[in-house]
Amino acid sequence: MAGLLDAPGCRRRLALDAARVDLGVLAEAIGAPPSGQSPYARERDGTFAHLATARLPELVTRHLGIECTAAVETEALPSGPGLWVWREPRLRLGDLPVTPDQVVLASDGTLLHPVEIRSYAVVDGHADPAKVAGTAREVAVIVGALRQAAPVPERISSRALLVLPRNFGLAPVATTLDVAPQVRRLGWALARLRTDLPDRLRRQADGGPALQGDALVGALAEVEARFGDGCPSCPMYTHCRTGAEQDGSVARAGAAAANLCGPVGLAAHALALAHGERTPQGESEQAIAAELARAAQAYGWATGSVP
Amino acid sequence: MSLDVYQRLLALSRARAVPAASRAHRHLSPRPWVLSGYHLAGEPSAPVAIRYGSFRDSPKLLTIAEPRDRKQRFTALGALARDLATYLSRYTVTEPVVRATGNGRELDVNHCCVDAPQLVVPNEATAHWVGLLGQYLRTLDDPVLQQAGAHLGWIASRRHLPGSSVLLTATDLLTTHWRTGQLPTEDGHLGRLLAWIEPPAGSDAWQAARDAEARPPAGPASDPAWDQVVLRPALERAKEQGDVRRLKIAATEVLDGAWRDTWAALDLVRLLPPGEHVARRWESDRWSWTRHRERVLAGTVSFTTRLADVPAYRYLHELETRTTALDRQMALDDPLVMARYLATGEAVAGVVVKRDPEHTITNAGGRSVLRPLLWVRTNAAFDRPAGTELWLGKLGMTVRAATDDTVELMVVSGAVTRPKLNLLPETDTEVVLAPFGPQQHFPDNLPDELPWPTRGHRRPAAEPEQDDELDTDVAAGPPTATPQPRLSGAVPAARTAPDGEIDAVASGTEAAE
Amino acid sequence: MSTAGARHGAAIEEVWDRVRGTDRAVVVDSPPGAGKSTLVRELTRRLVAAGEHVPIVVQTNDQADDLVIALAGAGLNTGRLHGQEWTPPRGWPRTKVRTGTKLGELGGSDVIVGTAAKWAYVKADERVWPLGIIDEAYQMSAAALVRVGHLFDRLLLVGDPGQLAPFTVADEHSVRSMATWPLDTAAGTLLRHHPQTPVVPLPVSWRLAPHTAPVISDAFYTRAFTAGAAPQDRRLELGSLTHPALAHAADHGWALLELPEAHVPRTDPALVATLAELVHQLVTAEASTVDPSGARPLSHADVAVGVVHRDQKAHVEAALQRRGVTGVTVDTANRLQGRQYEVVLAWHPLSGRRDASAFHLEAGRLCVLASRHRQACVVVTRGGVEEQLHAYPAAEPVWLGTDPPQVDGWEANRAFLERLAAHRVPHR
Repeated sequence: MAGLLDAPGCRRRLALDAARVDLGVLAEAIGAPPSGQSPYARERDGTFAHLATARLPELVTRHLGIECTAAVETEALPSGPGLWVWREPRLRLGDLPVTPDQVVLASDGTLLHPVEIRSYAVVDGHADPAKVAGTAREVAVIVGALRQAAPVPERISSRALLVLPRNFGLAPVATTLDVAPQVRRLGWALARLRTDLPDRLRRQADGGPALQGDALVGALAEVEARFGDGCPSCPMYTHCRTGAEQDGSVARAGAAAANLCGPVGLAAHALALAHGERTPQGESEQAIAAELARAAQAYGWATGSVP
Repeated sequence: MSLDVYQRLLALSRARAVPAASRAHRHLSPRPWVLSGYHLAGEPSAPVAIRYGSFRDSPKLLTIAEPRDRKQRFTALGALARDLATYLSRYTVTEPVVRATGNGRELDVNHCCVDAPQLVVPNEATAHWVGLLGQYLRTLDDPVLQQAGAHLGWIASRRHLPGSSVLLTATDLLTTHWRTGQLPTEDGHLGRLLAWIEPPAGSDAWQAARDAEARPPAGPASDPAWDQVVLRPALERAKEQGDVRRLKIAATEVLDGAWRDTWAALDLVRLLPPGEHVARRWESDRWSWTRHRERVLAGTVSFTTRLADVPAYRYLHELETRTTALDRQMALDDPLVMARYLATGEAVAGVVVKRDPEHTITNAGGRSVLRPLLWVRTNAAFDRPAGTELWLGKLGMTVRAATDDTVELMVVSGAVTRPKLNLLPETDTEVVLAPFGPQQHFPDNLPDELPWPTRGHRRPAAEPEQDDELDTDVAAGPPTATPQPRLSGAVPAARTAPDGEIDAVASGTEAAE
Repeated sequence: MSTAGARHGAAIEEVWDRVRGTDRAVVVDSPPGAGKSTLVRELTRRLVAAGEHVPIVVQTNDQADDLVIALAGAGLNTGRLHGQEWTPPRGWPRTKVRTGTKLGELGGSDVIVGTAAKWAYVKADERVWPLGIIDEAYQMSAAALVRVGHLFDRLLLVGDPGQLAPFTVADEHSVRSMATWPLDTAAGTLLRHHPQTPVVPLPVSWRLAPHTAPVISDAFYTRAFTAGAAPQDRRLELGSLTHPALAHAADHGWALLELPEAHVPRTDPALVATLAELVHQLVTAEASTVDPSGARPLSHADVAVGVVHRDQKAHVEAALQRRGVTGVTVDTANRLQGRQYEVVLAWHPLSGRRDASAFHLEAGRLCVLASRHRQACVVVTRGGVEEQLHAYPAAEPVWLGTDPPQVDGWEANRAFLERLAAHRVPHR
């Protein structure tokens, strides 16, 4: 689901979500290095989740002002005040299934706040902003899905409680995290989500047999990708990158290059424009050629070479 | 920056990095202390292995068989702390520096260390870890470890200051001087970066970069597969059978690449002649080291959790001053950096084709004043409007008009009196007119205390969440130290810019130009 | 008096009561053209009449000069505290004004006006005032407030919360990694440390027209405001002019002139040419601007081109120079803050890009560009902006313990574009 917020401009990334592709199967199909978690990280996660869960009532009371003594199991969206654990909820966001292992919610009787536990450290009140951004996107998906399930969507608050270990130990500390901007973004992305998948992926999305190996890769390759700076975190990264390398695509060198070269998609063409070896077609190419020619000349001046 | 894009495209099409600088813009110590290491996933205070030292061929290797055991950790970090102290003890020699103060009428003698230590690490993650390690060491109940923590804290605090060379990361060093054709985020991988700059014979950058990726990680961020397949069995064997050989082999395997690559990065940058301003910036690092040492010796070194109040504003001011100064100095030192400004059209290169030193205008007071004119033939049309300000060293000028191949300029400062007319460039001289005037120095001008509008009546007390006993430590030994909040932070609390420190990079006139 | 006038008047009296009351600080939130300058002038006049000496902190030399001219015009003895290199602008008053680089040179002035940078050199042991006024307090950085705050026992801060946040060349990651965040606005930092401070919003924009004010209010402000002018009060008469974008904007206040979608370098020559052509048409046609004070010819000084980057400014200026047009302001959003023109032609920050960036999405940037005009605003852009917004990943770093901005740049951009869709004029 993360693709909706991670890479809303890449149709291939969105297709992974829309067709509910299993990422393990995908990694094997494209020969990507096995992903997964270090055994040490897994142990730490487990220990911390255990410790943090025990302290949740206290943290919820302190930071959200909601009195509670223990988490109560629920099998539906809870209605009363208190701290609730909903295991394996089967939620949806738009048409897409959202199936977290559990959702923890703190309610003051009116608003429901999601509570999330993560195991990256807060050192002196400071956590890795990229990791927090990742968590914010994940929480936004949960908020969006809960709102879709709730009779009164406004009751699901976008202000979540994030529980992290402090400094070098495992003492849980909590901070509120407002994901309102991410939720708004998600709503818009969802409204514009085009799920015009190739037939084979469409059948899989509709519950048909899951594609494997080359068939999966082939079907995904039919969907247009948009290579850029954020790609290394995508499950398709190694596959798309090889494609970009073989094509000699400008985007392989990053978003700044792709932004400057615009419609000139191939590095060879862009360089030919820069060196005056290719006649620019149209005003857009002329502007790009002028810009790159100036850079080529400056580079030639500095290196004492004629490009 | 269009030059940056052009260089990336060149690199991409040649499958090899292209130079982005022709001078070394960082100070390179003849004897750096290189450090690479690996810690348990998610636990920066639980190092598994650390390799360090000033000698490429004889590094020290620390391994910790049970990284979560406080006692083992303590012993290993103790060795690191002592070796660091030995390295730092080489940088205690000072020399007197005489400065004029009080409108230049009085002389002030200060002592500054003739050289300062330099720590070099493979990547950003290791640099960040150095700070965390320092912070962790300061929480331990041992003077040697605490002092090492203070030193690492100072070293790490210099990392964010533009132009400082106290803590260098090999990836930053290389991306400052070369451009690759891969994603900027991929440049954060030292192995990949080196593969682009010097691919092995018979291999292009793409293949070499993929090969580099397949090798063990440079640390300290964990590689799940390596943790599972190599580290775990080695650690278990060490723990259960007391046999650390396998762990040593694993540690060597994982740290060897990073070690070699870091030295290789230093070698590459060493081939470039140093930029003219580099020594000046290093002088500011030497002053900072001198002050830090004085504080350590006096026992007054302290760290706050984060800079707040006036020091936060002072830090912002220092960052701003240094950022501007570094951009300017690098451009003036290095034609390849200046080329970025030529590419955007902010600077212009050409040949002086005509001069009119006698040109005068009538100023606002009705007097006739000397304002020489220059005509410069350029390679490309200069497309900035009339009135644009440009500089040639200390000569300030404004653009009067520009055609497709000529710019007409009026000199407005630096050579507007007869005795100084000889400073005008002669006809046929090649010139680069840049958007960089003489460096200006603005004092930070901050009060000693925050005024009332920018501080609350009472700061809320720190949250009483002192429960670090919930540690992953498996040590049965006595709980060594309770964390000391005053020493637990990342940033030296003392003024980040003691007198003279900023001066060294940002003071008024520059004899060097 | 109109209802709008009554609401505005009530807000002014509320500010005056607060200023005469016991609050240590008062903040006035003023949307574009809500009479901020008039308010400052009026309050200053009343304070001087009550026997007070009034120090005023502004942000730029232009703002200081404009204010001094206005205050002296209102008959107040005004001192202009300035730096070494300052020279008086055209139209500088001959009487009622003293100037100097030091406080001591301004003896006898009831009001002293200077930039924050200049006030920072005044020492508290020279003098402390019972009340200081800070103009453009959302344009001023917290760092600047730190340098002058000790000079005043109480403060009145007036500013537009929709402006661009203060800019720094320092790397945000470096600052945030080491320090608590010192990069707030002056008003923001005061409200954070003194949350009980009353905030008085000015409810009426006198600059924007009834059909343009709601767009700005909805997209960029958390406190709604309305236009003070009546629907038929203003008119732009274009004479012989034919460009459909100008014609549409003259009728509706807005036009979104869309050039064919293309990814182009940021100095897009077609956009430069289009802007220069529009300016040329505007200043050569016999256009006139009409408001309740009467009709007058549209002068070059009534027109501004708002751009995003300095190189865009350079290219547009050069293009105008080639067409022989002078006297038309061309500047970046940053420097247009607080200014007002009859007609503004704005370069859309996202025009021609493939990927949006945090810089180009900043709400204040677009807000400044779109709210400088009294009569009409033509936003010029390449097509495809909506696609860019759609493709923008929610990947901004999130710093623990900070709230998301009250006005999210992405959301503001989207809302603005949606409202301007009805005014889309395709390029000929």
